[in-house]
Amino acid sequence: MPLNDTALWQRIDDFDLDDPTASLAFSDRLARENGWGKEYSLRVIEEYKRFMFLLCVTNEPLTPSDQVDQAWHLHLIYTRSYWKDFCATVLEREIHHGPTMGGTVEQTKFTDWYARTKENYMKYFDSTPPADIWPGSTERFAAVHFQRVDRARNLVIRLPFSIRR
Amino acid sequence: MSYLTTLTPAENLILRDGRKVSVRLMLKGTLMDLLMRGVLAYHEMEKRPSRLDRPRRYKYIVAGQHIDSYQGLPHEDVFLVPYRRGGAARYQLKNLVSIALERTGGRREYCRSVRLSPRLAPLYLPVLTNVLAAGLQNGTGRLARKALIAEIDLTEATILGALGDDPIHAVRMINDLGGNVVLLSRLPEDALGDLRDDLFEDRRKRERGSSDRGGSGCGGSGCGGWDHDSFNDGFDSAADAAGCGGAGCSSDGGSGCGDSGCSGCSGCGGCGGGD
Repeated sequence: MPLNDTALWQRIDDFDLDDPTASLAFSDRLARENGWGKEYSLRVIEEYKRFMFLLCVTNEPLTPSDQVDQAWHLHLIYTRSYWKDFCATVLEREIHHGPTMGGTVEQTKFTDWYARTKENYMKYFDSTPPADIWPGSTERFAAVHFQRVDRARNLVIRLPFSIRR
Repeated sequence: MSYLTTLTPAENLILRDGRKVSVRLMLKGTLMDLLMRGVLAYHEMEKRPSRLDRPRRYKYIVAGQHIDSYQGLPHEDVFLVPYRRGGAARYQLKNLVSIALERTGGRREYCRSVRLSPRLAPLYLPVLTNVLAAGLQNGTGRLARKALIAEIDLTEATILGALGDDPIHAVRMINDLGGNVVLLSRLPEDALGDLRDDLFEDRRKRERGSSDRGGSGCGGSGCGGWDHDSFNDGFDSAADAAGCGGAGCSSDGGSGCGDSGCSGCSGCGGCGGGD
């Protein structure tokens, strides 16, 4: 890793999304909203930081895994932390989030970018992205139908494997 | 045999307290032990979460100088695995406590993992060990429990006496106990707080090389800046936030908070109601 990239990674790595005084910190919220454990949530945040680093050093469009994207979405809600503290101070550039516009062309484009993201990951971090956070493209871009559900008022039952889409 | 220098804090707690054992205290003693042996290290730093915020104290646990050489027992792995799997190099104390609670697999599972350690298993009836969370001690186990209680009483009396007459000796005794200090309930609340500078000055001066439990002391600079009171506060608030009460713990990983709501400022519309 070039020296200036190392300095950037050090700044990103030092950036802590969890306020130590908050009773519901960023990682708690990320875990709660996605039904994850705390350890997994913290690992996803680590991968989110790596993804943001790759966006800065490669200067090419990249696509995160869905898990990393959830961390990104949540960070975008903490607007001051994201824009002022993270982008302006740590990354020293603006990183915008662009959702897909749908359709097969977009699907192909994002699948390609996702593969490039993982290639860059291996190149810069000299390690394979963890498969439980960076799944294969087929799983990453499988048809999904997410919807907000208040679990205090609704019971969610997992579909049998045979009838899952 | 000295149980306080041979067994881990969690092993001694379950041997002494049986089914009344506190998982929270077992975790606290285990983490303290790993810190005092230089397997993990404690660091505090002051940072601003953002430019507009006041500085706050961040309490971190990082890998210590002995983490690679230390052979952890299964019940210690709840604190060690996160550092060995190549994830983050440091965790906030409160996050590490939450991770450890998740990794216990619940009270029954954690008690079992402690009890099945090679040093404790011979002290329990094999059949009931797998059925009862706290297990049932056999004759040897009951004798061991009595011996442990006697050793705790004697150690407490010796340290209490030394606190007034020979504080350096008291410091060394506490150092040698590592995390097993959580078994001593008669020490004054502030005893460790008052001694904390001496504790680590003494620890720096002495390279213990090895101990009865195979761990190493932290000579040199490996221990970082330990602050017993700060660690205590940090651990207790983290355990409270993670839903770990005095006697037992749940491991659902949730904070249990019904928090919702957002705010905006400077003209950016906040979102009231649900978040």
